[in-house]
Amino acid sequence: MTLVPELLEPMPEIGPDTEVRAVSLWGDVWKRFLANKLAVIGLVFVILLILVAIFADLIAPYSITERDSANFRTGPSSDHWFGTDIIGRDVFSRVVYGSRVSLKIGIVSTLIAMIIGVLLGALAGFRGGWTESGIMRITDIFLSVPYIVLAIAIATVFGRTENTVIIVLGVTGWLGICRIVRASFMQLKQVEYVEAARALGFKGRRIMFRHILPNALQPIIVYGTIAIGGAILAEAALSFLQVGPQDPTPAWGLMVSQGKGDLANAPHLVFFPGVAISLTVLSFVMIGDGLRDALDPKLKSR
Amino acid sequence: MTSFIIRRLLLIIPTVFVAVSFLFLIFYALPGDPATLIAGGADRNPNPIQIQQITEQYGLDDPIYVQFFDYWKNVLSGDLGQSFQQGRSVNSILVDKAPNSIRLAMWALLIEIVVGLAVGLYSAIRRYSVADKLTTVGTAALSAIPVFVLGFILQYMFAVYPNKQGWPEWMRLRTSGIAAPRTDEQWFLFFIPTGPDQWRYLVLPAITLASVSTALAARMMRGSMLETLGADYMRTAKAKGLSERRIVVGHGLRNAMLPVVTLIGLDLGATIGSAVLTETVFSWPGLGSTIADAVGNRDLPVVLGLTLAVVVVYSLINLFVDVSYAWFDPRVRLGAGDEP
Amino acid sequence: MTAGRDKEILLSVRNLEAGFDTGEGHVRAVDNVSFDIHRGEVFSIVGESGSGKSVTAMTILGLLPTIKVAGGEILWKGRDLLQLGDREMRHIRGAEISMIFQDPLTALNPVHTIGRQVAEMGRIHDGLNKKESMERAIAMLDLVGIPEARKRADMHPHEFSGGMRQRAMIAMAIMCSPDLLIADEPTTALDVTVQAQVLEVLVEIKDRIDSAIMLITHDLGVVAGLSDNVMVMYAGRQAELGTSDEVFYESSHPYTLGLLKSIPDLEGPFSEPLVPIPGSPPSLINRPSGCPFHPRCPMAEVPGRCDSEIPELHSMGPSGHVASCHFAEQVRVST
Repeated sequence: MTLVPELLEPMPEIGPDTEVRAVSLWGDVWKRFLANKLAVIGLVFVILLILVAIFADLIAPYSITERDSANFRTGPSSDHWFGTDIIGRDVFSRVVYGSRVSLKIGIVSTLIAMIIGVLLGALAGFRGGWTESGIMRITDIFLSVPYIVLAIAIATVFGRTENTVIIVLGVTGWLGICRIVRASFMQLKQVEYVEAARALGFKGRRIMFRHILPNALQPIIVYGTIAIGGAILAEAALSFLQVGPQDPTPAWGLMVSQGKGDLANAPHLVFFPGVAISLTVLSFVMIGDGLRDALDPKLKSR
Repeated sequence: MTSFIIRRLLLIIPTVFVAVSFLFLIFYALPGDPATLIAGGADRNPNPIQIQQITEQYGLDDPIYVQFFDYWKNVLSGDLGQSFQQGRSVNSILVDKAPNSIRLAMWALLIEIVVGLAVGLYSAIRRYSVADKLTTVGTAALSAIPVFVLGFILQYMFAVYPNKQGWPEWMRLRTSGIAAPRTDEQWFLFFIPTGPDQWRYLVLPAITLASVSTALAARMMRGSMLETLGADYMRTAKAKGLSERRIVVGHGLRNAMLPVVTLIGLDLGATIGSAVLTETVFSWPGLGSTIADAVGNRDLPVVLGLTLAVVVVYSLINLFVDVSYAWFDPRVRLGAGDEP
Repeated sequence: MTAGRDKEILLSVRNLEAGFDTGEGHVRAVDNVSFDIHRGEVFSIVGESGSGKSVTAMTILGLLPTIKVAGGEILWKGRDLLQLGDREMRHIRGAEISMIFQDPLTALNPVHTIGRQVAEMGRIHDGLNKKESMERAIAMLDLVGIPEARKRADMHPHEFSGGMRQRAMIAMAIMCSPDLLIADEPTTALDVTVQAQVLEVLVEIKDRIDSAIMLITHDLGVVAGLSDNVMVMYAGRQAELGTSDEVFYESSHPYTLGLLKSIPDLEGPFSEPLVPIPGSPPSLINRPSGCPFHPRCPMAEVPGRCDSEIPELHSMGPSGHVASCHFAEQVRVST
């Protein structure tokens, strides 16, 4: 995942006095979230984006391959709101369809990364000992390889498709959440009700999942949301380096790289996809920030 | 302390081994034949006998474990192999391009530290002010913009547009490359450009590369400083009758810097990624763009060799950061175990 | 116990009112508090958490930026500190009035050596150079009973034990021979055995440099035997103020009585139960009507004066002993 600053901020803390959240408490969280203007704007944008992705067929005036032979590389006009690209395709439609690519890759890869990270982190934090050392060593090794090289290499080898990118991002992005989950589990291991569960003879796995995990959920949710933003950013980078989905798939990053040669005369080719990426990432980050504040209002001291 | 350092240095070896071997194996699974590439590319219909010769020369038809073994044997004697594409040794490529990347990185680091820390510090001291709010929103926005998009925006604003409008020469910045071929002789103290022309090539890529890190550093500094400002010892300092400046700078700053120092180390991994992108956008002849090209061209030795170099350097820098952390914070005892 | 009142008055707090705004309302932390401190006197302020004792002390030195002073004066050697700007206050802090805090581990800067932190005082207030101030710092550390002071001066706070840290703080506070040393719960974070040592150091120092001490604590045991004058605070108001003897042996406020009764008596019969004060301290935002103590007071007249009229400070005699209870005389007689 690309290192978005918000990922490094403190996550909601869990400790000895964290109670298991009852379902009704979510109402409180929601209210606090709504009070945060930026977070709400982000949420609205993401919802809009999802709608755009779903209804792309209805929204986009042209298809992604349709060429307007009269207009190459033209700027925004009433026919082509975002202009056309070097072979005459409508940029607006391509940006609209591109939302599918970004959302799909961003969300699915984050899901994969979170699953891997949470499992490994839980194991490491809960079991300790050799399990933990082993997992931490692997983490260190992953960390020391330049992520980009790894991603480029794998993507080059396994073909340029959306799924490849999803797998690459998923397999390289679990490190951050692993650390956090490990820390949570280490703390929660010692909490009283866990000791009680142990005394009652519950098996490790049951304790891990039924008792600790619900409490560790808070930082996971916050991290996951922000990480989607990071994943979209990473996907854009890979697409830009022409290692992501191939033409004619309208991956936003790819569109930027296609437009880069013409910056002087056709800046709109870089501008519109670029703005799309930025706004999308920013929205996810805002939502994540809002969630963080809503879940643990004490953290407002930032 | 020394045992800690030695342990970490030793750890670098298996890390490098695993990382590079992993890449090796991945590339081995590649479709496409390097020999053809060396001979000039499949579209040129090279002589099959030539291909055969090349294959033998590079040992490309040996079983994988032989190639693997040979490769590491060479590495240990300092030979990183020959580039498939460029027909010269990887070592020479390394020597050629590395300084450029280092120069760019040094400038980015400078910007990150100076601007990032100053902004973070200021917005922490003047909390709730307009500047503070701007900082918070600004850093978030800045880090959401992809590095390459930012690069193009800057290019457009400062180089392309002025070019189009015909602004005077001195106002325009350059979009790509490095000033002159004989670049080595034109750098002062290794990284300071000597001619005004060179500055114009350096400014934009440096700012672009620094952008995300600076946003990160500013945020981190702000958060850390805010926490420090609320600490008990700050109140004690005030009770001692110290001036605000002395309190903040003399007592607060060093404490606030601690997490930021770690951050700068952590950040390096992300910077490498940004470097690849930035170098590509600005056609800066450094390791980043070279690796990106090499991967595209299946130039295995270059990829492996440069990755090896980068991994080693990265580990060394991390080690350096950890050690210097102990200098900053006297409470830390190195090697006390993993912290979460 | 001498009343210590024959010497000059250094600090005179008159009708101090201070509070701050929170999300839930305005908290009146200090409500019409008045007292004097003389040179060389040990003045103790006793109360539970939230009674306003720490806030009073910090307001004297202007250490709480969020506090708003609503009225009253704080006269230090004749000047009203509340009227002084920050620049002028800086000359008073540390040089004329010093303060030491409760937890020496967090109150000392972890990244500087002890020596440097102590010596800093000499450099700013007395203009000493690096060497001179360090020498004086070492002398101070020695004075407060830290062994091998010269070596220790190069160490960091986390390398000291709790008691030594507190002594180091004292050394830091007396570097410039202040006339008043405010000690905010100096022993609360320490082991019992160490507590006695630190208190001893405080008294010794006070005599040495002829300064006054304002001792803030919730522990009556610390107060007795040390103090000249005692002020008991409750819910931001003064409950009682007088000499140590007067407050302990002629208590005129039910709260004081309650505090005294809840101390275990090592010499009494073990079968006698401890008598705690029922209830908990009041919210400072929604105060009880009338006397703030009435919900917990065993002799409160409810309904009556106690829940409708805020008690004035009744004078208990010519010496300046006062108590804010409608039935102060009856309380005194009952002890």
